[in-house]
Amino acid sequence: MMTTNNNAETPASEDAAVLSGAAKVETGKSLITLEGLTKVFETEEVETHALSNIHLNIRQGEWVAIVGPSGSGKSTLLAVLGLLDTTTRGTYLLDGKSVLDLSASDRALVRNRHIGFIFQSFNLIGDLTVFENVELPLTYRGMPAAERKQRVEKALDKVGMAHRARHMPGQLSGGQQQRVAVARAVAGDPLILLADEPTGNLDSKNGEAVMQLLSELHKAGATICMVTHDPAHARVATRTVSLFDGRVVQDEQRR
Amino acid sequence: METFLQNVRYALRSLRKSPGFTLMAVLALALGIGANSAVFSVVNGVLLKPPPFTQPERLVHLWGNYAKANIHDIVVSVPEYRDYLTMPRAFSSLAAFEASNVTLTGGDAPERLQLTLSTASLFPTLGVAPVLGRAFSEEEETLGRDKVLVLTHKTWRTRFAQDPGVLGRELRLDGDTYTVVGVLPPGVEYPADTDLYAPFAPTAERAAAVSRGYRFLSVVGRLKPGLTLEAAKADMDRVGREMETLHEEYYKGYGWAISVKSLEDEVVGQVRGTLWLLLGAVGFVLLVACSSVANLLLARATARQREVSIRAALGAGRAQLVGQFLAESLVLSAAGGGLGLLLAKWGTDALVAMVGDGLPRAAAVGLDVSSVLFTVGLSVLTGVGFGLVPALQASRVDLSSTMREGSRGTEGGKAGRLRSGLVVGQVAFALVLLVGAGLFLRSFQALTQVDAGFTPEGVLTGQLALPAVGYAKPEDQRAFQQELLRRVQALPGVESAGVTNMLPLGGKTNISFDVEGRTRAAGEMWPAVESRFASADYLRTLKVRLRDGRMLQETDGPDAAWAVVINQTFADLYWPKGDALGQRVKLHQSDAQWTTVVGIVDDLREWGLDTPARPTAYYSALQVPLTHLYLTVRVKAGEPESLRTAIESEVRALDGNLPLFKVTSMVRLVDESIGSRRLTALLMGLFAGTALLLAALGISGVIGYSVAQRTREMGIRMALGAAKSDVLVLVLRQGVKLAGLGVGLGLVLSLVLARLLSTLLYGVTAYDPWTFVGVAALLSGVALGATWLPAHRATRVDPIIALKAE
Ligand SMILES: Nc1ncnc2c1ncn2[C@@H]1O[C@H](COP(=O)(O)OP(=O)(O)OP(=O)(O)O)[C@@H](O)[C@H]1O
Ligand SMILES: [Mg+2]
Repeated sequence: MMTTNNNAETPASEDAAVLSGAAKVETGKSLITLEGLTKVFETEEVETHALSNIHLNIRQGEWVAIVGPSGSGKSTLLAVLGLLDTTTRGTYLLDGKSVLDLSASDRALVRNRHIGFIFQSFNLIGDLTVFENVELPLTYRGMPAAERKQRVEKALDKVGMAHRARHMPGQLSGGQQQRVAVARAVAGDPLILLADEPTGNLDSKNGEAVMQLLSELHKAGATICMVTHDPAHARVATRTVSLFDGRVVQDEQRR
Repeated sequence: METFLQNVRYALRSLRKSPGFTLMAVLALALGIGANSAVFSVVNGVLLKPPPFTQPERLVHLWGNYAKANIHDIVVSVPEYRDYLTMPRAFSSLAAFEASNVTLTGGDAPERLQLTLSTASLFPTLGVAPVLGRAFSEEEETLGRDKVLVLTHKTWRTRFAQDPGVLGRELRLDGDTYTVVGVLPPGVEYPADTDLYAPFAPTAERAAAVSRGYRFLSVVGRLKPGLTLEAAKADMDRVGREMETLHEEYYKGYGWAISVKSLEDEVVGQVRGTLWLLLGAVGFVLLVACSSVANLLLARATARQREVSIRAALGAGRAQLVGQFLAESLVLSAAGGGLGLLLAKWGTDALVAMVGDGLPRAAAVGLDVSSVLFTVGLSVLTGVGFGLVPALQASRVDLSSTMREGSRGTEGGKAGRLRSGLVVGQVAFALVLLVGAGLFLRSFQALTQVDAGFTPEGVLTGQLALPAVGYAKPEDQRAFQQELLRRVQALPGVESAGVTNMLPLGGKTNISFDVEGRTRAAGEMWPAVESRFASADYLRTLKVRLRDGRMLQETDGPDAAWAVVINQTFADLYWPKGDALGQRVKLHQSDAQWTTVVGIVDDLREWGLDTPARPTAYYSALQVPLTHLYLTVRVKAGEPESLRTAIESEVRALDGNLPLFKVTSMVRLVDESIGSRRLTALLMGLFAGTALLLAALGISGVIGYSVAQRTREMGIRMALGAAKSDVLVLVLRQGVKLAGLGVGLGLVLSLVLARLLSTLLYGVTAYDPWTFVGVAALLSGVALGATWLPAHRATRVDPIIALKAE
């Protein structure tokens, strides 16, 4: 294996948390554990090993950047982490519980409760207002309206979009849309934020703004796993996992 | 023009490229247009085409009425007709006629024909002249000179191969020799089913002043030019009052009045409401079909937005784009119209075959020039109608929105709303049709469950008309009847047989009468009673239940005291204390005797299943012999038709010159009596079913399309944690919303339109809650089913789609 330090010591992690700012929550608890995770796509006589024997441990409070060349399996890894896709082999413990053999409806439940998604193409629903978009995952959770309202307002406030709550997504700029998408991801207090190239569809100025937003969330204690092509953005993260051909080829902790 | 042809060429090519869409659209249109053309052909033939009379709108029918006795539309006597000839001022001419059955002999087998005896004035009054020979003269309205015939065109065609040499030919009718003197133009058969006309020459007895109450003539009149029906009515009111003062004993105190009705109403009044209703209903089917096609076109236009924007970018103007789309819809409607015409041809024939006798002027119904023009017009109209909106929609290219990056999500938009609106309309129209169909079905069902008071199963019926020659005397008539029944009853397989002067459901023959020991107060009139003359076994053959007393018997003969069996309604009306048996009545008929009530039977529906029983009396046909006999035979087992040949040969053996005609089973007669109602229910059901199917396809299409468009959105929602059930509900809710709006709108529309149906229904109100609720439930169920498929498809979206870049 060419991996390095994919099992960081607890003190190092605490150290990282201290160095990265003010971690107010308990850090170091193992949130995600992947062991021997393999994903093979079988299409007409071609087998693509999108992920091969991945071992990865993500602790609470970490900000992991996943990097690698196109086709290296970054999105596939994120999809597996987000329970959007199944695996061929291996184990996946989320918050200590195995989640690979869950039924479709249980997976939906886990996604809804514990995972916050931020997509490259924002993926706001065009027919719903900003408020309703942020509210959507909370609705699926069956949360009472009053609590939803409070949470949505808090989340929108966090991303600085409270004044646009009644707008339709089509009336917002790309950067604004992505900030709403971030609000939607954090509104439900997920265990982890998963972001696939969150700045990919944005110009550099808007991209920086979104990165700033993620930094703030991280400082406030959020665990983030983010796919990015931009080395500069990867450097902002506390840890960089490099994929190549479906394998983890480098795992670098900073500070 | 050139661009139009080019557009058409392009449309053909592009339609060929999407055969599924084209097939759906053409089929929907063919159904809509075909059904409309078929119903229009019937409406046109029966209601719109002018009858072959000169200025038919000036023709009227005159009827007598005793309003206080609730007797309406009665025929007139010879003395009354004479009054009509002299007293009114409203008519330029009047004519009287009487339809009768005669037997034509001299051919291979005796045949029964309908001979109309009419005054010479009938043809001038109707405004028709013979195409061959001459009409009658007034001199021929005398006995002895009256044996001349005018043939209808149909008789000339079918019996004489249109031979001009028919003039002067002699025909033997009921043993008398007649000479053919003329042939009428095609289509003139008035009254309906007439084969031949002969002059009406009254006997001295009929013409006598004392025969004023002896009524058998129908009277038609031609209004003086410029005179309205209202004026004629006022004129006849005056005549009625004058008659009342001149002949108090006949009219005073009975509410005597003469009614004037347009001839057109008389002929088609019965079916007019139903026909217009069906045309309206089938129009709704077309609306639904057009919305279906418009919907398909809209979906297609959305899918072709890219093509449109390229065309627009290349400089195509709005008009050119609209022209392009219109050409496509016109091509579709032309194909639909062509196919529809074929459907209409077939449908019209099927319709006429199904209603048969129930439809006046059925012969005039056909797919003629006006039907074809109607179809072509309808096709063009629908083509432009359903094509324009999608065309305008599609040609409105919104470049800014397609160019705009970053606005993610679904494209609801105007087109989507329009499509939803169309589906709501479809559902609403389908509901209206379903309500109509439901009401007619319930009416029909109510009719079939009516207790007719007799058992039609296993009974064969046929008719015999005894001519004056050979059967002039009552003894001869009586002897024939007895011998006929003796022979038929002796046949193996026959359980019982009887004769009567009119079968159940057949119509009215009311004759007034006196009740012994009761005198009429001045101005009071006893409701006339349905009078039937029947052989001993007639009621038994129909399995009519005896309630009290006895049935008629063989011993109720000419020498015995006269006996009568009455129905329960009669007994209740006149002897509410239950002491009807043994009471005596006397018919107002020349040789009638005091007649004792010997039995009471269950009510029979003598006027038709939809008409409640009226007081009815069954006199002994041995005491009042019959010249027109309805034979009824009950078989021991099996099909009644199986006895037909055996019975026919018995009749032949009895009198070789007497045809047994209109032989049919009683079950068939019952069926035919409600045939037009069955057809109405069937057609309404067919129309509603078509609309329902189209609406279901419409809902499924719109929802399916929207699901396809929202695939990504579904994926996002699922990525955010929506369970399958959340997505299912999301899509179903969309369907429910459309269906709910449609059902609501349809219910409002139905409530408004139901009033139009009320006179055509039986046993159910136009606002029957069960029908409304049932239909709404059915439609909602179908709508939900139609939504289920696309909804289910939506749940199978892979949430991973959210990760993929658009
Ligand atoms: N549904 C699929 N069916 C078959 N092969 C797939 C499928 N999805 C991904 N792959 C393959 O799996 C491999 C990893 O794909 P993945 O999308 O994870 O790459 P990536 O690192 O996200 O690339 P990029 O930077 O271009 O987004 C690729 O070779 C891809 O072709
Ligand atoms: Mg990727």
